[in-house]
Amino acid sequence: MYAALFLLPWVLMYAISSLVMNHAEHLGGPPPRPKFETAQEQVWRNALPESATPEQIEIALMEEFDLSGRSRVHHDENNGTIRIKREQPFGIRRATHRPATGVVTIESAAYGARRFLTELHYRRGFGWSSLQENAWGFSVDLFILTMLFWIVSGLWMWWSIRSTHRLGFLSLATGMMLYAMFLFGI
Amino acid sequence: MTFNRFNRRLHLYLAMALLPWFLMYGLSAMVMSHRGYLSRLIGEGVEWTPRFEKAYDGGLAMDADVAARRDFGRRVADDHDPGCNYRVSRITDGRIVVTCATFFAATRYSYDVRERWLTAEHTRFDVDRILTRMHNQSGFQHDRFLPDLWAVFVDLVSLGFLIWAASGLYMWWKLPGQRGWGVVALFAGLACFVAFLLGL
Repeated sequence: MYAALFLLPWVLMYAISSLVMNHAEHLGGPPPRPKFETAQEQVWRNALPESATPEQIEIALMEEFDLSGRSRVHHDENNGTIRIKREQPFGIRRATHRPATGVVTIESAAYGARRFLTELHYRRGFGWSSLQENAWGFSVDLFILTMLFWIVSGLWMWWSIRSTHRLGFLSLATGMMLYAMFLFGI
Repeated sequence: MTFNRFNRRLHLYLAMALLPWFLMYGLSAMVMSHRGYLSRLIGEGVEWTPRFEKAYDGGLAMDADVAARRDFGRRVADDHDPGCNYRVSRITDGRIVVTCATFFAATRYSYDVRERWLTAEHTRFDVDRILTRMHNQSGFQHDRFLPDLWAVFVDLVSLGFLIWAASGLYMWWKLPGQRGWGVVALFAGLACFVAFLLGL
């Protein structure tokens, strides 16, 4: 019960986002792509040597403009442009560094409600550079393990209430038959 | 029957009926959350075995719109795997892919629009991919009854979560001895979630 109360926000988020994703067709297709707006544009003064590698520039950019965490980096080998896309729950921040001019452009795009829910639903896993991101991955695992535990504890509780055995069996058998029908029919 | 009793029974029987879905979503979510580790452990990718290749007049233009691509997909499916659950890709580099898939296996029909040449390949899925496919199966955009009915059950499971949450909260509130720690757990969870939203 306490685990359920603690994990209530995750339960609500996964349930509502699943409904939204399942009805993408009725909501006019996939959520619209976020539109970027320039938030800041400046000549980037840094202490990097002339011979700095793209990886060193990338790390310095992340630190300077607070872009570390769930980020994706794109290097354009033709003109040396580095683009870092930082994915946050409410939107994206994007930094573009053009070595020819030394200018860094920071753009941001806010998610709509549908995209916010969808992105949060997909957010999982480990191996990110930030502690918060890995902690979120841990919270997702905790939710999954608790869900599996609820199945076991729920079955045990059902079995301990003798008066519910018959209808419980009927519900379980109906669910399993329907599931088997889907499993081999789809 | 009192509301309290009705609420308890709804909580229980709904969970029993939807148990296979909860189990599948739980196991598949674990697989998806640890995909990188699993790939290192059991290998990555799907191996496709060639089935046939042949000339095929699909009557498809390079700039075909969504409806025309969908018609093409249906035609390929009807000609080679009638009644299958199919998906159609966009046209990329002159090729369009129609995938006929069950939860256990798939056949991929790759069509060269310019050359009018159809290639078919087949694969069987491992347990982790079977689970992932079930997890990702959703939406009402199919031409067939069963996949759309599955989408109704996806809705039912989602609503089941919401009903569980509401009925669970009601049951907790009916136990005065548990309120104190319950409030602590509820607010701790809420605080963690908000902290994640602002800190991620």
